[in-house]
Amino acid sequence: MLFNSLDFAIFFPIVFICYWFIFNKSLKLQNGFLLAASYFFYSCWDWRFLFLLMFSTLLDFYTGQKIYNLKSTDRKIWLWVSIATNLGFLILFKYFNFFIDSFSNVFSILGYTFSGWSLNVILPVGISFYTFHGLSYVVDIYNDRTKPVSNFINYSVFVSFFPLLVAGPIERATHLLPQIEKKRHFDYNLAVNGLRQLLWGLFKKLVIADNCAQYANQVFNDQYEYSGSSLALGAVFFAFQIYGDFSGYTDMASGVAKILGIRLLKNFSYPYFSRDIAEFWRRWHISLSSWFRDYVYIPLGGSRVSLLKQVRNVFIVFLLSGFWHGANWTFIVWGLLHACYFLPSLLIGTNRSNIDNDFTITGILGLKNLSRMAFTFLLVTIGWIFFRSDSLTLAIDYIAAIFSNSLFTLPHFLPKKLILLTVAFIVVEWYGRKEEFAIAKMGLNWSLAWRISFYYMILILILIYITTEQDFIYFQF
Amino acid sequence: MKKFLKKFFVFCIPLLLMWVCIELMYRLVPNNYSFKHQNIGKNFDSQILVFGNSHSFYGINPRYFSSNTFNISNISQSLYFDELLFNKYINDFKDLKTVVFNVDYFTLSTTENDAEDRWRRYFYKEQMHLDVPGISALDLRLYSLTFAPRFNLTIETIKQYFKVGTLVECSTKGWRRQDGVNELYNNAEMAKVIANKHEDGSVDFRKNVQRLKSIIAACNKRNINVILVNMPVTSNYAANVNQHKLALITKECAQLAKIENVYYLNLFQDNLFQDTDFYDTDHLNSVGAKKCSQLLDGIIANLKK
Repeated sequence: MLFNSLDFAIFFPIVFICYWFIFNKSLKLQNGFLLAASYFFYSCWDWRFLFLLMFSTLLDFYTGQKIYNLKSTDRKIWLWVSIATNLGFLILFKYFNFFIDSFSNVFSILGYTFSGWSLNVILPVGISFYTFHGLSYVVDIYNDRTKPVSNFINYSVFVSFFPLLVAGPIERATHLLPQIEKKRHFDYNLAVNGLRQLLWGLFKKLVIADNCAQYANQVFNDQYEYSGSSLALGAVFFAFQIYGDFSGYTDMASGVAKILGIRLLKNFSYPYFSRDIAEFWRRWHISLSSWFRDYVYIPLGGSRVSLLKQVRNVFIVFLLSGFWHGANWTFIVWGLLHACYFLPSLLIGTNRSNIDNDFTITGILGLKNLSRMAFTFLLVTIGWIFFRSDSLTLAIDYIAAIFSNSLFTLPHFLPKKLILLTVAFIVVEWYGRKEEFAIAKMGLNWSLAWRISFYYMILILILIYITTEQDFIYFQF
Repeated sequence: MKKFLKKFFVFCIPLLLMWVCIELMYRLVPNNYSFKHQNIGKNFDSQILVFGNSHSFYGINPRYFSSNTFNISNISQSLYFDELLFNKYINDFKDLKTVVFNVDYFTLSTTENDAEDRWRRYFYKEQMHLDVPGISALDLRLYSLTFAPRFNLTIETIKQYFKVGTLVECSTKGWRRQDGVNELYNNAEMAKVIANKHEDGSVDFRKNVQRLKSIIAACNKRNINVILVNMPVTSNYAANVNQHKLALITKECAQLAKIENVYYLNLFQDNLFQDTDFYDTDHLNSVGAKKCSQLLDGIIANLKK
């Protein structure tokens, strides 16, 4: 069930009514209902994987209790039981075939034959997300950052809360659990803000991402037929597709959660306005990068170790981040490429120089900022080519073809309306960049008629530009 | 909460009104589906029945047949819907002697779940009273046709209604007329685009061949002839399709034609048709339709002898 589907348009109002009008008398009932709704939402994809989700939830709930109640050495055992089981499932479902294929290739290069069996299983939707939810909970208890929850239903809601279940944001126990354990009251302003965010998320997904996808798919699926300029345009369209797709999903998830009185972690902060790669990673998929920072980078020593070890840590984090996205060498190279992009700023100590969100794009300073933003966007877009391509060879061929003489010819296609819409989208994002989402406060000071017209304009654009239904890219992770 | 619900409801009123208007249009204004459904009943005495997609919808005109003929084909009508329509109506056509199925470049490899045309199933169900399997009772589109096609298609439909004054594009015999040559769509560049659009990359014909076989078996029981036709296309279009797949399609049709009462007519690159006989790159205009229909009529007349 997608947020932008008719099924969800029926599902959510029912949830809303039951949640606020029927089950609002008791927190227990409300959370129980939220869990049932979340499991129903998840089982719409494949009910069989619901058991895996339940098992993972039960395991982390139980190990969390054990770790909290036991002494030091036993705590470690239970921690590793949880880590091994969670990662074991992830490896089994997501990476097993990749490892077998890679071993098989290495053996064949060495002149041996290795015929390991492969699994014929589909990837459970959201496994990378809920596994990381559970892991963060267990590790936080182990590190005494949080206490275990005594109520299993509350913990299950934390893992399975339907807006974030299949594509994040990756929540932390310290942030979401207190909200689940506390009695919730309907907050008008929060709900209205949520509706606005939902609308903006729909716009990003259905207007920007899905329409850019048509051109990006056309080019990437038939890359050898296109000139360098068309390939470059295709890569830019993919950059906006993936941003609109994933940040659009996050906005919809956050919007839906707010209507239910729950705030989710911020996952995007206008990443294409970044002036360097370090800033990009503070703005893109924030919940994942901060997860890796807190549970991998810092435990490895973070930035408090020698420069050589810092470099090692950065490479490990980016490698894992790439691998988290999928079992393909293209994702690993994408991660390593970003590590290489990041390295210079780490070495010269400028990786935290661009942390403000309020910077100018006018005057001399503005010109400098704009050129930095453009350069960062160029680097990120080159990275996306690896991310989108089916193999390394295709990605390298794609990049090589861009930087050929045909780069200076007219592209095979120039969808003016879409380009205009994308430019308008960038302008709106720029003006709203200090807020949680671009239209959070846009129009609040306008007259009612103008404000309503503005929301209707977005709605009409969504209706007009709805194209063939495209899946969310991050569902495959 | 009251304030929220009240304001949200007020905000939604124009949307609700728009929904009511569109729903009324789809329910009350006759379109190709409802019009064909209405006219099938008046043509149960037909001896020839034509199935297929837009290629036969535009390309086979019942007027040029010497026996009573009805064209039941429709835009993007796959073999899946052909079979459903065939099974629904076959017993009502008591005098039926021949059924014509157009087998195009994409017919055999098309699956019934093509996302682009999935909306049509609701119109078949609702307006042609076809028992379309696989639609959940909880599917909102079953109850509201507004939600079936994409909104921009609805806008096009509304525009058409206000421009032409009707949504019905076909005659009472089920043929859709298109006159002249549309230079915008009948050229080498567009032929490439359309051929690419029709390329699904599949040569798995098993499901659709099975469909044809079961239709043929049912026809054989009533001694009805089955004619499989590769409808004509422009030379530009033909040059842009995968020749290997085309050869496989031809081979499959020839194989089916070995069954009793089955005949195969390959007009895909037939010299009888010039590029001026086409409205666009792969659809005949009224002149081409006349040629094609007369040719088919001649063949059917010969079958009788």
